[in-house]
Amino acid sequence: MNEELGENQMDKKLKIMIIDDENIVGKRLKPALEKTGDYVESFEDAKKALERFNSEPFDIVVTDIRMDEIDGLEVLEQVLSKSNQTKVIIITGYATVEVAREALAKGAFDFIAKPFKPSDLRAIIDRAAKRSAS
Amino acid sequence: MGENTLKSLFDLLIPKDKSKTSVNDIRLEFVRFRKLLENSRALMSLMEDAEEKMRGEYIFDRQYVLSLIDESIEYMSMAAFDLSVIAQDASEMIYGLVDELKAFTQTYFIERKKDIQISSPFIDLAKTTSSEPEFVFLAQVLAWMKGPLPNGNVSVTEFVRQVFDKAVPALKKADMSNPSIHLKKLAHSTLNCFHLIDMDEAVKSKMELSIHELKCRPLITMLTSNATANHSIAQESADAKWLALMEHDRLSLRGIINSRDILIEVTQSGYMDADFMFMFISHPLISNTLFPQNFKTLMTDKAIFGWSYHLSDYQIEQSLTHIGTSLFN
Repeated sequence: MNEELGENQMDKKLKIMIIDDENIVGKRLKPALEKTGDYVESFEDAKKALERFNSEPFDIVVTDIRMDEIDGLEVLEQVLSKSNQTKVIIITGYATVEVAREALAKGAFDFIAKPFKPSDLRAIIDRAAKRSAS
Repeated sequence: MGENTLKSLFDLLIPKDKSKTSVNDIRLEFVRFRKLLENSRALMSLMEDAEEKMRGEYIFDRQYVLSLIDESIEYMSMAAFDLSVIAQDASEMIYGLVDELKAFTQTYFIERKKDIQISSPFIDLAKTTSSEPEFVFLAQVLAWMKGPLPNGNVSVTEFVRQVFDKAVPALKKADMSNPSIHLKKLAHSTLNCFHLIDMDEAVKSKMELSIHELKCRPLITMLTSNATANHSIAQESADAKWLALMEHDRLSLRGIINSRDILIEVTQSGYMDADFMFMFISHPLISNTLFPQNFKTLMTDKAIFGWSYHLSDYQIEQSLTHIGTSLFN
């Protein structure tokens, strides 16, 4: 029964938010993730992204950990305080393993290290969707 | 600690008098050359990684490109140290080269990282079909790594070439006439100038060994290959002097054939991640068929060298048989 429910929920199109102050990340990830029919919005400014999230929650938030004004950990905290159903995936750069560990301890679903293939992120998103459904 | 301070300290610690060679010197050199190979391999891997990212399948940012530059400088600094231990005479030259490479990256990459566009000296070198700044940046860094660069600027590849051109001729060879070494001789009808040092064995019990008494797998494979020989190479190498530094799964085979240096380094442990082969032959090349087919090769002013990594045990056996047949059969 649970499995059936899970599969039905997996068919649901996801609302995915991407936050990264490096323009290229959102620019390349958005079309890659939209291929499966999911709805994707990307933001370079974390503040604007959080405003958007407060007006309408997303299923998945993919956020870079190191950003200038608001970092990924703060995004994680604010997102989870607003919606504990949302799965947050952290993008880490280089030599940030400790921060990634901290993010997982604070409730991030998983993390992915740059450089990465969109298909690797898609696999994590699918796991996150499956977890939400179960 | 600055590199000059490190170099001064190094000069103090390592005595200049190299007239007396001991087994410990050879061990130090053996380990240091292996480190040099590791660091050079790391540089080549960075290049391969950058080429992979240029194909467009990955998401990367400027930080990735900057980290490529940082890591390249780091590995080149370590390789410079390795070379300084092996060939002290090359120390000043190689540290000068590292400084030159650092200065180049500062001028052309670090200072331009916020306003990226293809500019001199990369106008004809940086190959990218994407106009994304990250791709343009990576294409230029890749051009710096691969070379050649105009106006006498040194690329990372050129740095690696120069390191091996200096390091291999400086390695100790079979013509050492030092009684403290206790070289063993290989009892073999056609290899009367083949000396052995067993790196696993502290006490030298026998002064002459037969092939059947050897424990070094790579050397046994090379010497017992029975495929059809290339007689021109085998004839030339019959007059060669060889020194084999042996461990059970590692071999450093150093030879001099008609004043040309030849070096073969092998690890054959059965773990693909650790196993590799490296070969260096001074010009004029005896024969380009000496390099097994799966080797990548690089030509330098003085030599050609080649390497192959992530090899299965079978691939190593095949490659050693190929080289052994050419040289010794």
